[in-house]
Amino acid sequence: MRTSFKLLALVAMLACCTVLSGCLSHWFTDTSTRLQIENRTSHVFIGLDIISEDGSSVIPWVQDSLEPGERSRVFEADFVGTFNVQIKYAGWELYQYECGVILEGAPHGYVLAKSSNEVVAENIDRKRELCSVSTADPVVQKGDFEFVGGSVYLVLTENEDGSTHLQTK
Amino acid sequence: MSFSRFVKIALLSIPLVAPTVMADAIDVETLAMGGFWTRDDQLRDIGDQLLYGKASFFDIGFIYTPVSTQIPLKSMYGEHEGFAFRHHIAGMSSYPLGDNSFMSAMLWFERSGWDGEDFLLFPQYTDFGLVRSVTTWGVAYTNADVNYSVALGMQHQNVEFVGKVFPHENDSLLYSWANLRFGRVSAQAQFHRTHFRMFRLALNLEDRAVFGGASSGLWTYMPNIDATFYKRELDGFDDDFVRVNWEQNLWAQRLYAEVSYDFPDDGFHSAALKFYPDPSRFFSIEMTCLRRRAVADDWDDLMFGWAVDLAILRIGYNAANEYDHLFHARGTWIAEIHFNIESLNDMLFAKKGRQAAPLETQQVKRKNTPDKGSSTMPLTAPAGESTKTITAKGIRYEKAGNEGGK
Repeated sequence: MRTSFKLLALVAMLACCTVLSGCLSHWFTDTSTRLQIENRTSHVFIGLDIISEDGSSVIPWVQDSLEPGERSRVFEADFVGTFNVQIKYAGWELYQYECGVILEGAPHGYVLAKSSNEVVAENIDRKRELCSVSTADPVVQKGDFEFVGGSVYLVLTENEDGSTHLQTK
Repeated sequence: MSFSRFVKIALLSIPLVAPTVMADAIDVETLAMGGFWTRDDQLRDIGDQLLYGKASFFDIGFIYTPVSTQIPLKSMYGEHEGFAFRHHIAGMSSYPLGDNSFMSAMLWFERSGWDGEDFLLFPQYTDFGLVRSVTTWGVAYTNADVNYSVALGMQHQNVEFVGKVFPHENDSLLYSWANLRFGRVSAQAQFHRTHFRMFRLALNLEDRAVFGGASSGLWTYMPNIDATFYKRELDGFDDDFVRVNWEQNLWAQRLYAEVSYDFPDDGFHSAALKFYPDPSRFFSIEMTCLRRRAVADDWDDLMFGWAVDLAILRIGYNAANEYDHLFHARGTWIAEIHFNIESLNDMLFAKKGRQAAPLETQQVKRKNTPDKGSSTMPLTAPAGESTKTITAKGIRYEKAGNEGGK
């Protein structure tokens, strides 16, 4: 009797593990991320996308346009893990200094300048030869970011060198 | 990593050890190729079962990976957390038609893929999941007199859901298959519509007690060899290959060596040393070595792993079987809760068992225990004496003239 009871208890425990395997993890893990962004930079944020490693494919995620100091609505997507993120700003524009000579003051090799010649002149020591650059495209920053699932509140801040970065809060 | 996330992971990691959460990600191409190996696995199983001809068989199981970071998915966007899954159920049932002829019906079903949540029946279908099922069914006729089987059936691959990151594939594939066995020689073929896809020739020369053969001796050391020709296309080009498996009994149908080799180009695929404490194969311990290679990157290495099978639970770490059949998952402990049993005549054994499970032949004998049912015992007395009846408890009666006391 006692042995059969133990066996029954073991089977019941196993059955619980089996049946609840589809449920247990749901108590602890999220399968989507609800993302909200606060823009604390001096630039206008226009979007956050998940981008493939080779840059050929983009999945838009947060598509609000945020003035400095604003926060976005909440956007939910099935991104839990570590992904390549691109953040787009409209506050800067690409600046074609002259064909063949272009500024390179922005993070990640993007050619940025505020649309005034003074700023351009300040950064001119980092010029190099480059010919094909279009103007007025959004400024893009890229990098890996880990989304842990559930509600995520991201703050965009600006470094001293003008680049921005993401911070969870 | 935030504190709440740490707590979540720590709680879920209790049953497993640290390497669990540090596994390598599986990639989308391997996951998309999974159906090919599932279909092959099911047909290989069916071929094995038809060797037993008139047996009945049942098999159920699922992979259990409790942590979402255990087998992440690597896509072009990054690394997604979630669950690789593989659930299967299979059965074969045989009925006698006449004295020596049998009809069998068989159904193999597997649902596998990757999803954001783990589940038993209802997937979450997250944007980057892939849920695929493969069903193989068929009927077989076995003649035990001449010892041959003929089997025919169909195989369906259905894609329930394909996420954004996977290569496009047909949502429904229909195959047909046939299996012909004469004695210990089997031939199996698979077709997609009218196109030939696979042909397998298997020689199971090893003698098995469950077939009525020997349980020891020279014939049990004969090899089991199969060669499979696969018609395959990769990136629109023909990539046909032949895989040869050799299974060899090394000691008393308890220790086996297995080698798998790919012709013409790929060469050595895997090798394993498997120990079955009992030839009925409910329990096993295996050590495996698998060759991983990426031709394009000119990269090649050997992966060593092991697995323990405890009748209802299999735990493996980098084992070749898990690598091959769970989308190249490695670097993590993989538990499979499963059970399979096969019955043939009055014998019970596990999948591909060589001898009946010993529980069949054990007889429990009571020694020196009084038989309670016969406390009232009529005694036949020698001629001339009257018949007596003695009612007694706990007293041993010895009849005069016998050597009693036993």
